[in-house]
Amino acid sequence: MRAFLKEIAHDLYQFFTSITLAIVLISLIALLALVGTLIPQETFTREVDYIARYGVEGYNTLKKLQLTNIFGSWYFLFVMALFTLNLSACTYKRLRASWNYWRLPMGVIPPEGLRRFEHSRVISGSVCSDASRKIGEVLQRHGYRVRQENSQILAEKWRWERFGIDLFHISLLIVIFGGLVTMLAGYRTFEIAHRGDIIRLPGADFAVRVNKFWSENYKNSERVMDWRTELTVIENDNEIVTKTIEVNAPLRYKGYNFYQSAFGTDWQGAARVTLALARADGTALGEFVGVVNDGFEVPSENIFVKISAFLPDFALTENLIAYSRTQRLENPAVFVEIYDAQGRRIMRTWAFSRPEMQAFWETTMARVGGEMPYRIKLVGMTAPEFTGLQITKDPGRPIVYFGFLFVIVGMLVHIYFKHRQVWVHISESEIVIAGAVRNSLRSFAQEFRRLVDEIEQLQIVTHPESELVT
Amino acid sequence: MKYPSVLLFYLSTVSYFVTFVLYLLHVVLRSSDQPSPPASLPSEGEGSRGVRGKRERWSDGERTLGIVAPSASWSLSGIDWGVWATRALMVSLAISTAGVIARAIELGNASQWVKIVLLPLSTTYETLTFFAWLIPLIYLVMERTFQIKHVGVFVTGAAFVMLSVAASPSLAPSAPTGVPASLQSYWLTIHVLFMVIGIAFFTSGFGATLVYLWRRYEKALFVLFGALLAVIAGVIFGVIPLFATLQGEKMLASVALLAVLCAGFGGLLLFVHREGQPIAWERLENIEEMIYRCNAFGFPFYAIGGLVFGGIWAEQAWSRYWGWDPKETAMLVAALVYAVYLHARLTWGARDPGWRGGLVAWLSVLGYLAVLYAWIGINYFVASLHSFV
Repeated sequence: MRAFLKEIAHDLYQFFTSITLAIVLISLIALLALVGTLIPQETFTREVDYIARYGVEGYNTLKKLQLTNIFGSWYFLFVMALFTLNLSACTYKRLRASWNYWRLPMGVIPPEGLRRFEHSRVISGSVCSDASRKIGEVLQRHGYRVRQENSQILAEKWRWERFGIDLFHISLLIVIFGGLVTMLAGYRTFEIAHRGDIIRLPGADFAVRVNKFWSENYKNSERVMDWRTELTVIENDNEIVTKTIEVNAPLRYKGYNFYQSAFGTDWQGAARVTLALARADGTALGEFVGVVNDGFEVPSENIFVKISAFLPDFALTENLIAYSRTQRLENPAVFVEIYDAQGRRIMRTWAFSRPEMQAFWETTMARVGGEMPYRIKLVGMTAPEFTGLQITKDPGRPIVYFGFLFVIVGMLVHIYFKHRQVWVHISESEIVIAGAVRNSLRSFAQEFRRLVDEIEQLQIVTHPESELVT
Repeated sequence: MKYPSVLLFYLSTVSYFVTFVLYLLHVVLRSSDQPSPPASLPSEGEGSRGVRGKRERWSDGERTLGIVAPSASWSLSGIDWGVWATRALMVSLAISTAGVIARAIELGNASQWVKIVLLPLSTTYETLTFFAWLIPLIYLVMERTFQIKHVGVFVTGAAFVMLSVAASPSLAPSAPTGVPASLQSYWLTIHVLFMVIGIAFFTSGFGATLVYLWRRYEKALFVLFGALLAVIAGVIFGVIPLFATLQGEKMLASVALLAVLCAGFGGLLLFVHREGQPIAWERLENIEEMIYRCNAFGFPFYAIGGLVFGGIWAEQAWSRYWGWDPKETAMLVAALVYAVYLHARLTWGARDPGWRGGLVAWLSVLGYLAVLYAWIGINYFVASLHSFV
């Protein structure tokens, strides 16, 4: 039984440390991510936009397959978990290999072996006595650490770079860990604020007041240069700090971050609309002003007009749900409900400001034959500006940054430094030089040739007669 | 001309075209009436590299590559096109360097110098012209290192196409406008510079991959290129957008299209495999290493620039390092494909003359397609926070 378990453990270890598994998993992640780029994800797409694009059925199918939230789907997380395991196992295995490699010193290789190296060269002739010292100096000048053992010079440089890839893999794990911390312990909210609002956050012992916000244009241009919001941190009724935030320059205080994230006119939340009312027979009742989610009374008729919704850019989905396509004032529409003195709803309708929309709507409603005791037109609208603040608390940030730092270091070391070794065997009648480099780069040939050239120019061999061994 | 940069970019368009023609001549007229010193004298050829004559026409890389073949003595082939091509490339680079600098100054003026360092990279026009400067620059470095000039055809051709596209009035507003608020950060410089350097290395690597594949499957060169282009275009413009609509019959059509493309391309590969004469592995090693080095050099720039610096910037501007925004995600896909390439080359061995070696090269092609998708393709059918590039 124990042997069996041991065997299973061994098999698992083999499975999780294989690079082929890594290749398969990375490919899978890439494939799923590719799908995620093709289908808009629900974190930044509204339901109505899905329906407008895929239809109701398509949307439901996508949702069932978790394709609208693929990066939170069980299969993606499963692959990521497998990948993390694979990465950890590979890192462990590699680290051990690197450590063993690090401890294993360069050894003497007999000249017959050196001749068979890809980068190898023999200089024949009688060798003078201080050859090894001179060659050692040449190698040292090239940055090699030189050691002599019997009649061989062992030189190498950048042995430590073997750990570069381990550092990279470990810091990748650290970044993943930091991301997990942010995901599990972080906090994130989006606040729409008007002038003078005070924002309180759960768990924070301070509040933030929105003093003012404004946008700036480029000179002689309609183009916005920047949006800014002036915030004041208030703690125990004391104003601690005041900062003007802008895009790319958040306020950070006690682990909370305040980002300038949106800016605009709060049509849907706080539009003030002017409606022209008339009886069905055409008798005008005048113009009235009301705010969204509130309304006004018409005393002469003894009715209450409720303004239930305002959409700056009216559109309908396939299944006839009204939504606002954009936040620009392209096709403004207001949804109005009229109640009589007893509080019974006697009518509800959309009213438009674009005449062709209004005409279309009225003819449609006339054909459907709904009860329409009043005619309503949308004649004017204003709305207050708002500033949108993204507020986060991100305990994983230092961990992620720490990981980032060593991701960079590890990757640079691994890619731009390659451990090189040079053996020089000196006997009375010949010098055998051989070199090796990690990944056996062919471009090492140039460096090797330069080394050999310099050694030849030392003139430590009389009657030089060079011979190329490949 | 109100904006000197526009004039300079027009000039460099012409100049790149001339360079392209010169590189093409270098590749096509592969003969030489003065055969270079035979490589069969090892003591001469290898040992005394430093003293070799300056009139050396064919670089080592090319000789090992087997591209040099003595043939008819036509007068045109007496000219050393390769050397002239490199010179023309330097001239083109000088012109477009001036253009990029002029553009940076114009953009700075238009943006009232909101942040000190501004790279001209905030619109498609600027991106294209910037790439047409950077890609050949990086290529020139690689050409010097590896002494393989054949990639120049692809690189200068690409630069010419980019500048031509940038010059088309429909695509490119040539008057600089102020930088949008979300881009006003020195991270624009750092993040984008790293990305474009990465892409430029990958482009050289991709060009080298094409040369490699061309040598590997020699006979069917044109068919192969044509099919490759058809597949790229078909996938980017047909399959993916069709599938993304998620409407039954269109999805079916896209699957059918994909099947046709795969069948056609697969059949072609089989054909090439049978008909072609893969050349001796030894000759391919140099260029294979050029591919590897380009990709391996580009990878840290691309990955660090995108994932690390992009993440740091996104945290400042959008409040999170990573939000699975389509462009971010597509960039991750490209980086992952290159990661697969690097691992596959390590594991399966690039010097494997069998199908594995070929697969590694095809992974490099796939990686570049993913880069193209992340860089250009995604802008056309997905709304993204990155909609400005």
